[in-house]
Amino acid sequence: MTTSPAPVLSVQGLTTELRTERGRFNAVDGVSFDLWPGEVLGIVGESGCGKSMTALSILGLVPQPPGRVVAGRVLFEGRDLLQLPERELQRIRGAKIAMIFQEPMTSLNPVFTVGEQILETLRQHERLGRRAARDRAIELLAKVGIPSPAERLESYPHELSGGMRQRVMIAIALACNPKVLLADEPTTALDVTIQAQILDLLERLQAELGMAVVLITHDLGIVAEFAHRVLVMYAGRVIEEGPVEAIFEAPAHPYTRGLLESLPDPESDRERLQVIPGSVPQLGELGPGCRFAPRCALAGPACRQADPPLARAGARAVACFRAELATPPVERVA
Amino acid sequence: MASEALSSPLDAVAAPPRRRFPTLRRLLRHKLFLVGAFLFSIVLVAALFADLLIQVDPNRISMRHKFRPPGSEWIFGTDNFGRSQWSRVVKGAQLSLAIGFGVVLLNALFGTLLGALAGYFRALDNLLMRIMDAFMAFPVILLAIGITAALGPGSINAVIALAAVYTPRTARIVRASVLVVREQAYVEAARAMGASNLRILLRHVLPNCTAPLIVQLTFIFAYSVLSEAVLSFLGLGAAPPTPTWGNIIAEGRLYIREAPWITLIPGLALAMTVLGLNLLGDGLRDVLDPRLKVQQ
Repeated sequence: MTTSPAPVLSVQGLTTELRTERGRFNAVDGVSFDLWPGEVLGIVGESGCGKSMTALSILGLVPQPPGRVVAGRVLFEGRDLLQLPERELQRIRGAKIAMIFQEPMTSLNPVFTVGEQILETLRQHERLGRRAARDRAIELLAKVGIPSPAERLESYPHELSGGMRQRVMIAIALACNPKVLLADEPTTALDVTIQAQILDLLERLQAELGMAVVLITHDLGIVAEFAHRVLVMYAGRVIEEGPVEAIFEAPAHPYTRGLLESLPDPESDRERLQVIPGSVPQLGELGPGCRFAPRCALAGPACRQADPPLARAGARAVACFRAELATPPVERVA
Repeated sequence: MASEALSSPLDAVAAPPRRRFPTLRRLLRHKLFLVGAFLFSIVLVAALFADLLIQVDPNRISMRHKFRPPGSEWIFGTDNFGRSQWSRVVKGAQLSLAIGFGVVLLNALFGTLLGALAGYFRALDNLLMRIMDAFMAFPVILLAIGITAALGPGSINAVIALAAVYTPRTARIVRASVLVVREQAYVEAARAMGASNLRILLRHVLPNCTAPLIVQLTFIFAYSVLSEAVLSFLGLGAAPPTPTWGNIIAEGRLYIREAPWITLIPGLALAMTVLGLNLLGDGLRDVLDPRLKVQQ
């Protein structure tokens, strides 16, 4: 992690509300984190824990209705993105903060060539001549490891494989040298071999361009390999935060521990994988206590009465009343 | 590290050999589409080269030659004033297609505009679509008659009336496609890359809505040719003696027993045009339907 005086992106108390027929609830609930220059921050959690919603909220892309950012600040270059008018946001999106999505198969417009789509983003944000823009597009495609980039400019998305399309998406995202890249499950839809290639590529580009990356994933393996710091989310909240090594070695929150234990371990001869009992609570039906309490083997009476705040200690933070208990290996209730 | 090493054979399965105009190729293999294209092109050629194809002025009256049946002298026979049916039907094709084309143009313009606004800006949806529904509540011909009655008869007014009558249908279709396309990942991706609403609508949403629109417009073309004939039959289109198919049929209906060819020939021309356009539309729908698009 780079020690830099100021974070590039600072999210403070971000809260995004979703209204559904069953009532309203906070899909993102008071999420705060700092993103430092050159850092890769992993956000992990199960489906529906608010990871993607956090990323969308940062860029003001929450579909509205049903969603709405109701509280918090997102500080970027001295401005609060949540207060900016749409026009200003459009200038930041893609130019300074770029985002890549999970579905490379459908994230490209099927009726335009790859080249036209790269040029579109380029010319939207930068004053470039036709020639210069084209050269830049070829350079970008080469940079993301696409063979014969000049020819590929003329290809339509359906002529490319999933891995190739994700490379094109990355090229588009990097077109204007963004300071921050929000990568929302960038490899989830890809084959394992392609996944590794795309991650290598992202890692290389991240180092080369010095941008900060927020990597949203449910895959702990990816986080372990690629992220410097990790944020664990559960039911809309950050429940644990810290450097990757520290968290993987000694997870403080029982949920994080559960996640790590549910990874297959090739050394172990256990037949079945560990699972966390129960499932993510419906956000509309939360009790007053810790959100993980109903599934937690360690939960005591205190856990069911109040939601534990995120308590900081050095580089780490955890939201659990029983954090000390969770740290040493304890027997698990099967 | 090395990006070159990253492009493994697996990844490079990328591009299948590029076929040019795959849609056109599939259209040319569609038999009914070809039949439709053939029928319609007969009418189209007649309309485009009408002035070369007719020797006799369609309005030249020659009482000596009235009620001549089709034959070697008069290909399509003559009517009650001895006017050349061939000249009148061919000239009528010109007018019918011109009107149909005008309706399609206006219809495409307003239908797309209204449909795109309603589908993309959800706040407008209810207002716009309820107005469209109100329009659609009237029977087509009745509404067209009402509008031409208000505007006065004439081919321009017929175009306006028919465009107004069919626009709600097109708007609906465009709206439905826009509703689907606006949720696509590439629209979200474009927004994440800083595209404005207008740009998203024009560059990303509408180009992906063209297939159903084209199909719809083909059918609208057929309907408007037919409806225009009805309007002029009722005396609400171009005023007689202008040779429109509707006018010819209207005049000929008095002599349908003695000289059936006067009504039969423009009737057949009308049927051929509508059938041709409908087959074209069906073929386009088969080929452009996204569900069938997967297999090349």
